[in-house]
Amino acid sequence: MRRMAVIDLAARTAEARDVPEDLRRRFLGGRGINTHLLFHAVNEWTDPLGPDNVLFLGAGLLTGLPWVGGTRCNFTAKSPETGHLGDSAAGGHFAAELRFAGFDHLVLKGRAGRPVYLWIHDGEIEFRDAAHLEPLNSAETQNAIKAELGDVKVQVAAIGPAGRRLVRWACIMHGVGDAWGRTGMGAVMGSKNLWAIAVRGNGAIPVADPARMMQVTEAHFAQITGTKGFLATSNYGTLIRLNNTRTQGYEGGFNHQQNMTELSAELDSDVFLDKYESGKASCFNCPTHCRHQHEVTLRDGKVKRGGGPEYYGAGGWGSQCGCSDWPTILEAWDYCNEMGLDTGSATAYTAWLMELYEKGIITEADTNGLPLKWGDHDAILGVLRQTVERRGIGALVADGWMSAARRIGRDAHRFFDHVKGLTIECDDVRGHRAQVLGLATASRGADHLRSRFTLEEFSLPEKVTEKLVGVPIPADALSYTNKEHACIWTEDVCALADSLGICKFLTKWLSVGLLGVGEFRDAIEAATGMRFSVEELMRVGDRITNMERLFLAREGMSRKDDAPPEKFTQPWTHGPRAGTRVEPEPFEALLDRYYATRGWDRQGIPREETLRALGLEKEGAFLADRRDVHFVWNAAPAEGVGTHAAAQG
Amino acid sequence: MLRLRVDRGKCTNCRFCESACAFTHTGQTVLKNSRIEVVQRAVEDQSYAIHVCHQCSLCPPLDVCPTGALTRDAQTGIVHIDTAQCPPGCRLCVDACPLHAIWAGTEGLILCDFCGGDPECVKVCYTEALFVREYALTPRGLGKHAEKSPLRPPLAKGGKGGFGPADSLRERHSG
Repeated sequence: MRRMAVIDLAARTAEARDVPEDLRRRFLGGRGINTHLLFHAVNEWTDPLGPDNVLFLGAGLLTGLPWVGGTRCNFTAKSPETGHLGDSAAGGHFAAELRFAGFDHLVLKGRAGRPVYLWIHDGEIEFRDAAHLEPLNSAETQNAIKAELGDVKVQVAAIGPAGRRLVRWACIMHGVGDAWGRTGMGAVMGSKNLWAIAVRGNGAIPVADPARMMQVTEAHFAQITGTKGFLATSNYGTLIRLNNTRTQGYEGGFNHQQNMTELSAELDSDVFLDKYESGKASCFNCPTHCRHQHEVTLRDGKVKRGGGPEYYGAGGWGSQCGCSDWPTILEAWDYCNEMGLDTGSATAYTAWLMELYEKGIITEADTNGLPLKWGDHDAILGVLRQTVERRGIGALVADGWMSAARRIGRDAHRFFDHVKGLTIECDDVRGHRAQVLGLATASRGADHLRSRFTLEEFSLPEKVTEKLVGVPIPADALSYTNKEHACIWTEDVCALADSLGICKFLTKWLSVGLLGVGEFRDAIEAATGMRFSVEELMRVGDRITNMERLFLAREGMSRKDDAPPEKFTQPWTHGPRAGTRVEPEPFEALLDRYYATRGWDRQGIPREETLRALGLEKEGAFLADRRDVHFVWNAAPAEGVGTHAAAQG
Repeated sequence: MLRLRVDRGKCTNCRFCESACAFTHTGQTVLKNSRIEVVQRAVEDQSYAIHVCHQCSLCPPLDVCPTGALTRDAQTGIVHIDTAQCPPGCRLCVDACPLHAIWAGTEGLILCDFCGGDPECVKVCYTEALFVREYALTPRGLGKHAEKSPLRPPLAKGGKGGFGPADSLRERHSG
């Protein structure tokens, strides 16, 4: 039995409800159920930072079980950064402890009158005063709460100073390195005056068939640790991509102006491992232990220990901001984690501001006299400090890039690479057609964790991909043929993984030998007794993706928002594959085929029969009044930023 | 004579050992019923305390147990607890164990029973922070240990890969 707590922060009440089995069958858990609940809880007029926005926390269906890597949970709300679907997942030990404490889903409504934190233990929920946590950063907040509650095994998800000051790209932190980072969930939590959630419990998570569960766990453990790539992922973690992207010529540099840089010798994961790594950390029940821990001597001579970095920070402040100095990257990384800033957005915003400075669009007058030179230590840290303190250039970007671009003017928005308002990752995937398509169609905005067909980079033989996807995918990354199937398969598998609470580093998202939908099915059956076929599970993934699409459609988004960043239509400048770009015509044809395969119309709106087949006709009913309107809106696409999100602000 | 050994510098705090232990012993996921626990005190800590019975030759809980609920198996040397014999509320062994290896589960005190010689926690510990060693038995207790027999091919190849950094962390802590 899964339980959901509906918590009204304004009235200080909490009510426990069962999660209906029907809902679990249709959406599993985590991201799936969150999205469904969010769709019904907010509407297109909801202010992301207002008390009407609802923050959902959902543990995955298999989170906390003695299975391999059931670690994750999702925070979902309307995003203050992008203005539409906000959703972010993180691992660590929080989600499992939440389930041990007796709850699988939290629904956080309203706004507390004064700062509070929630103390959830063994089925009970307490509201506790949090005002005394004001001077503390995110790690200190967690330690203070552990000390206050007198139990070191309490797990805490806390916002830092950035979240409390409503920086629109603030994250929620757990530990020193786990963040619900993207789409500004920390700001939503801050807007609710909810500063932390502490969980601890000794409850049992029911397992339908314990003997079978153990067999499944043993088999999946052997499968994961037996893959060829396991040593690489466990050793390098996400930093493996630093070397991959560089050797293959798409590391992306200087805010995506170049595809390769000359900074690379120092910016190497081996250099980090040799000089700065002090250990490894794992999420709950995961043998991969991919997360780094570092120890670094900062410029002021202080020795700093922290968790991370991940590729987002290393590549973002590295090649994108032109900095090849690891201590600077690590200092910025730690600062973001302590303050509760999303490192994904932080790196992209910094790179963007540096390009604006280079082009003369902003000057020292905007930045409190801080020269934003590429790769400069003081510039990188200065942007972050000013953001948290909301002064100088930080006063602009703390409210999100769209608001900043409007206030800066002079076409500043054109230099920001985004899809649906969310920054793209630091690498440059324009030479991988399925990945570009995935970037363009990802539901929460540009994203590698929703839709990146990673396998495209390995040039797999067609018979391998055919077995996996059902359709042969050409080994040539530059081919547009059949890439829509690759993208759809990835989106559905990612939706499943997020809803089950498993990390994508353990799934076929990363490597063919890892867990796939068949393994998901076995684990679900052993753990919950729910029987699915592989096709049924894929349909669940399809349903979740369609649910998110409906959310976006209600926000007024459609084909015009499924476009890769403008810079991707420019050719690559460097390396053996110079000249590669996204050609508009074949890409639009690919997008057409993607919509057709998905059962969506030419504007990217799900067709009625598609929704009926997935059991979403009730949710899609609003489209009946709107289908024509979408065509009118799309008849003349707006110039420039052009998204609905920008118009809303 | 087999013994469970801990190399905590290699531990990455995944707590799979806790899950596996609790689940194999009780069929449930209540981690309180795990006979092993990994504790991270502050969130920034990079090393973890691992509490589990090492089957020490010199066992203070055995000496303080007033009823004989704790017994050492003469064959294997494993200390077992028979909670039926525990005096109500007695926690003398909990306080006496220098390794904090005995604690209260949901149904009385528990400690590692070595899973009959094939510990589940070792099977799921990929980093080999937990491992099993064969020791010679001498009249004065345990003698020299044999070389650790690897459960799987060694991780480190040519100096790179594997757990170099974690090893150096261990040296720092043991020094």
